[in-house]
Amino acid sequence: MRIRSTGRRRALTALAAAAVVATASCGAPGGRSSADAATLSLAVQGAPNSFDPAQLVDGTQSYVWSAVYDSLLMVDNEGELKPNAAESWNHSDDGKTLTLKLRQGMTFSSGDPVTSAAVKATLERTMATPGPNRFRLAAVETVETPDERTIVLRLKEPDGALTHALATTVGVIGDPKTLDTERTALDPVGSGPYVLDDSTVNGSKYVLKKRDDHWNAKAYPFETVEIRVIKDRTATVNALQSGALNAASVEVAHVDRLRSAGFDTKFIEAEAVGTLSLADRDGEVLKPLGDERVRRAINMAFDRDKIVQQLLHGAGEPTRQLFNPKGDAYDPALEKAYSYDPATAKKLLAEAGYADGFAVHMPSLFFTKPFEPTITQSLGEIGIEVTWDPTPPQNSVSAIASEKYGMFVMVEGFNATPVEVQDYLAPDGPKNVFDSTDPELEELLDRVNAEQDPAKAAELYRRINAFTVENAWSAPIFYSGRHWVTGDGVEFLGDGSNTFPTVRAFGVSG
Amino acid sequence: MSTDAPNPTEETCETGAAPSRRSSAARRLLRDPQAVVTAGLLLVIVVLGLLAPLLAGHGPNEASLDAINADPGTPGYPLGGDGSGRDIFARLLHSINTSVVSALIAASIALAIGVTAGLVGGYFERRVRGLTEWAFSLIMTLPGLLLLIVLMPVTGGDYRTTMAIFGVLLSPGIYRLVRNLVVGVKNETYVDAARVSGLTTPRILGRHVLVAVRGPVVIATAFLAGQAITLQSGLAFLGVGSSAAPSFGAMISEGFLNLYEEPLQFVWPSALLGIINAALVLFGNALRDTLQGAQPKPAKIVRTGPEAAAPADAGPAAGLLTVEDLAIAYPAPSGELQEVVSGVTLSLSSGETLGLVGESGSGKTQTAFAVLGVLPAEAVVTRGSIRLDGRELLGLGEGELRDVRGRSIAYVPQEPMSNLDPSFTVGAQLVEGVRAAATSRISRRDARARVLALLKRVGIPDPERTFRSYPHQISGGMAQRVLIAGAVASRPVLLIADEPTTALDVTVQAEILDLLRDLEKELNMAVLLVTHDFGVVADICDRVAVMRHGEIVETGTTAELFGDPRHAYTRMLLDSIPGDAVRSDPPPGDAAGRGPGPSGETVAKEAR
Amino acid sequence: MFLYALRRAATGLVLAVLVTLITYLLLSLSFDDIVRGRLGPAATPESVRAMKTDLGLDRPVLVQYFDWLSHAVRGDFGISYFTSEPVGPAVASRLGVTMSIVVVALIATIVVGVALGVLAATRGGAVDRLAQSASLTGYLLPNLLIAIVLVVVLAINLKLLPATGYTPVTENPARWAASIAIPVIALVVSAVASLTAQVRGSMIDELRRDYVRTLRTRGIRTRSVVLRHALRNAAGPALTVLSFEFIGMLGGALVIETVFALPGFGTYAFDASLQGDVPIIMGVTVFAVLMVVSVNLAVDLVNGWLNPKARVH
Repeated sequence: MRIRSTGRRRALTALAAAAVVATASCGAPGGRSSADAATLSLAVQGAPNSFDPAQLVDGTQSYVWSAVYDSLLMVDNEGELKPNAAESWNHSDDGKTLTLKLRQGMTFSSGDPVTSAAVKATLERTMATPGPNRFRLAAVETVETPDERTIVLRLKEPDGALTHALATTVGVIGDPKTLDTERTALDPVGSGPYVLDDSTVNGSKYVLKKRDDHWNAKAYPFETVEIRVIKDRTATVNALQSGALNAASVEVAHVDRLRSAGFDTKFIEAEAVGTLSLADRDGEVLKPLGDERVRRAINMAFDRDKIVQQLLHGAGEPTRQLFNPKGDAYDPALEKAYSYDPATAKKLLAEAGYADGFAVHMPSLFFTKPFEPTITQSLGEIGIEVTWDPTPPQNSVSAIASEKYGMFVMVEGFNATPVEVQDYLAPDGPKNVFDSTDPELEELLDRVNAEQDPAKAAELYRRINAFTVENAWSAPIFYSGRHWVTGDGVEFLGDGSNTFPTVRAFGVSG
Repeated sequence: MSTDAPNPTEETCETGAAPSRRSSAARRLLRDPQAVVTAGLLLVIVVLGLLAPLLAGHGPNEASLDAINADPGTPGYPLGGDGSGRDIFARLLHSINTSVVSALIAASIALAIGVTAGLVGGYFERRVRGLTEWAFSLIMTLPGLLLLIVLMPVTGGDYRTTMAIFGVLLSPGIYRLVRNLVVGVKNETYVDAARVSGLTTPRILGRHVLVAVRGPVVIATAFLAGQAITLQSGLAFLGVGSSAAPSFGAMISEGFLNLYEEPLQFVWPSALLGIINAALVLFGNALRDTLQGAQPKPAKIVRTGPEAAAPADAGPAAGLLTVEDLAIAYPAPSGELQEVVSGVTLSLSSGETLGLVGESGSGKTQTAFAVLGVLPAEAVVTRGSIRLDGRELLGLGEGELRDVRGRSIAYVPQEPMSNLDPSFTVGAQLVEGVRAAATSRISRRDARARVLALLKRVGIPDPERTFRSYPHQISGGMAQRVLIAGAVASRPVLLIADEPTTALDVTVQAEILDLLRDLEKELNMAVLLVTHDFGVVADICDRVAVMRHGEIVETGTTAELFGDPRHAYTRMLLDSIPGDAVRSDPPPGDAAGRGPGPSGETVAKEAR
Repeated sequence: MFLYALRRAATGLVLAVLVTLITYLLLSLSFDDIVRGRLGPAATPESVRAMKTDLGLDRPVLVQYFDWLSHAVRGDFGISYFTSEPVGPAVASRLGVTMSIVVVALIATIVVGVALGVLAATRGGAVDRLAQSASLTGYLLPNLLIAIVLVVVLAINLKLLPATGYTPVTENPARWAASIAIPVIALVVSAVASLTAQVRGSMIDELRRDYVRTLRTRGIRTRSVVLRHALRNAAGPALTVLSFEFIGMLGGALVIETVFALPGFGTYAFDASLQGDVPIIMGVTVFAVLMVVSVNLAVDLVNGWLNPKARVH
């Protein structure tokens, strides 16, 4: 009876609605933002975890905790490591002692002074508590406090990544009086420029009020920072357009529309690297990967330019390197390696004894889904048949850590180069799943950890990077950027050099 | 899970019948355009899915970087490419298969569990049923979505396993449906007969009981399938589970991300999913209509337009009620009007009792309803006149009619139970009637006093108690007394009684007739007694009109008619009365229509 | 009556215990993965073990469950593994958001559904077809699409309503109403169809019943006959549909909460189950079970009130 007309009507309605969406949004007046310049209203995708210093997690949630806590050191918007709560730091010549000197006159939001004892208490607590960052302090043997303002870290061995670590999670200073109380996880006492306001709704909206008595108050132009958790990307755009937000990062697809609606947009070229990690370099669970020729062949299977152009809509660059293009390890010369060449790749596979290719299972994770079809296709062309094992989010970390998968896709945010090197390449690095080592690499790592001269260290990092590219330890495919959109009066100051999400990246625009 | 269990007793009438019914059901289904179109659509969609490998140029997960967001019509990509460079057309077709498999798995598991447990739980007594009840309350309470996600590590995200679990979660709906049906059917005579003849329980369950529940279960399955498809898409939309199986949900979710740029990527899967769901729902409804009898169409209960009849010029009123040349017609399926009452002429004086006699379908009840002004809305009075005390009733508005009804004309129905609103106490409905019919405002308290007096008058032993009772708490005879009390509450001049005793026990019949006769005298009412029962006629009627095929074939005093029936039909009716059992024997024509069914059925039958 | 409710409540509690036990047993299968997830990729076997000890997950599963239960009955549902937020208050606050939307949507659904259903059943013809196709269209249009169109038109273009976020009613009633308006509309549009269909169907049935005619012959107003008598008798089946709608809306709220970035129960439960946040999953399960049980009980009680025959003793 009415079926056909209903079906058609339904389709037409859908079309009409889509048309409304399309046209309406084109004409949308925008850029007007109800949030005044004294307020930064920023969207993040995930709710922060616990604010307990021992449990802090990197990522966008650090917008909140990095505003509440001061870290010992900081990385500025140009990517330079700078004094922060510690006004100075220096290494001993053997690199095994790090001495930090605290700034004078700092106070916690409770009014208590910030002392070296507080730093010691926080560090030792983090070292003793199972948590996601404990390994960053693995090199630390003891924490000494010769006086109220001096902290001396004695190390088991030199650690080139430690100072950068002290600019992020493990560098925060907690208030020893409340550290072990319940409030630390939700409403911690810190010495940072902001305090969490009562109007905060956990998991949804974090309201930060500026502390005018903070030693560096003038560096933070916003009286109020509102960080809203909005998981859905479309909802973020809607919130921007309706004036509920004045800063957020958005998908490339939305940029033009927001720009024409009057928002400022800024593209951060390099934010994360998408790589096919060829983790099982010894062929323990995936025998073919033990052969360098196979790993090189895989690197040649990807038409990186096209992937960036089509899949990322140009919002990124093809790459063969794991490391931050703004960092010391990156070497443009290495981009000449591994051009797209399925024929040679097949030849290499045949040489390695896999003329008929081989089959491989990889975990299908939330963030890998958009890339799966392309990776399946690319590897399929050289004879490698991929099966994606659905992996529930609650298992995603352990799926990779379990050493069940010889190779897997990672999309990893960039970090400071020393930290990246430690994560990817140190035998106990969290992203070095199979604890791969190599004598040549080990030597390079030891040297760079002990190296005090930044220029020489940079050279060593480049050599380390070259090692991983030449030995095809991974198959990086692209690095992707991020589009920042800001409303009236707000400016995004970063350029990707600093990879640590912090409200310092936002300023007031003229 | 809206498996609203239909009334089990209705079920048994429908589905417990002979197998010949089944084929006729199938034939009826084939004649129902809604069923044919929706089933055809579903069939086409399923076939499209099965032929997907042949129709689509690409595999569902085959990606090409060149095809990313390709426009519809790109060679090899009839509907374009999606954000990952896959063929949208291919993915749509393969998504059909995912949906079909989901529906099959979830529905068959829900059915297997629900029907088995429902048969067992419904057939056996308390202890077993207590057990199944508990098990299914437990399943029903499980937080489904949460559980499906928590179970992901176990299911590995495979949608088939997920659907199997969902089937279990859906089973309580089926269980309840089947259990109710079985409870309703298990004491039916044919099941008893099977039991007595020594059939084993499993065979009884399988052969007799299962047959009885088949219809509603088939219907519920159509809805189950819809739910399974919706859930599978929902999970895929949320990104829960494997992305290897193409699914409408995944496509919608990807399309949603791309909504502003490529709205069609969102529209295709939404539209196809919508069509499948709509087809399933509408097919389910068509199935229900066919297997359980068509849902009655809505009809205005009140006619708003003026009657078609032009009142004949008001001649001298012969009596209290004059019906002249009354014709009532109903629209046939073809749209033409079909007369069920053709030119009836009657008259009735104050205090007189006229018996309107005829077999069912003769139009006697229609005539009575016309006088009351409560003909169904689709009925059309094509000509004639009905006058009460000289006032033309045809053509009066609902408001004016309301003044006549209750005050001047009252009505005693055939079936006492179904004519009382089950949700209100006897007292409440009588009070409402008394106040509605009162000429001046009357307080609730006065109305109550009047109702209590009336209840006493109609011979109810404990009026207070009956006043407080709900209809299901009183007996049929008592209910008929209540209805008579309601009818005479406002001292009407005309009482129309439609088979007032047929539904009652023999002993009660006599009492009710006596009561009517007494009241008639007491209130000096005219009574129009509609009946098929000459025994009743002989008992209380002064005059008789015999109706057949919508026409009056003979009128006369009771004595004349019994003594010298002139029309052959009258003679035949009189001959069919068994000598002594004048009042006890319901006529053959009406026996089947009796029972719990609303007498709306009778109306329809007479209208036909 | 009271005893009946009490017995049903007791049954509900037993069900809650069983369901939470099942949930806990299922969760216990992935405890290792969950702990690893919390520790991040840097987890070592030692740190996993240490954290399991910290969380008490190294004990026998049944001991853990009964420990949880003994706290839960005292109203202590523990704290989230990931955020350390106390679960009880968090669930309550999330529930407040979702309930605001769902309850208002439910009331609106009742009003619209009953009105449309009664209109369709009593007017028939074009009104009937219109009411039916309107509700069917609403049913088939995805929630999501309705929501997004409303957001674009009402929030972005006209700036009449907020596009995202939630204001508690205690903070500002007007803003509260504005913040739930679009989500409520989106939910109502898709929920109203089944109720309309059910009300229409049962009203048609009721209006054909004999008592309706008899009431009319007593001179009672049509409006009273339809709305007081027929509707009340038609309400029973509609109520059952409504209870499914309610539970369905709680599920549908998940999508709505995501699109409007509302801190509701649905997203809370969903995110927690994806993360494997055991205390939250358990807390959410308890509330979900209690909700289902109390909705069913409420339906039965109301049904008893509506329908004297079904009245419980």
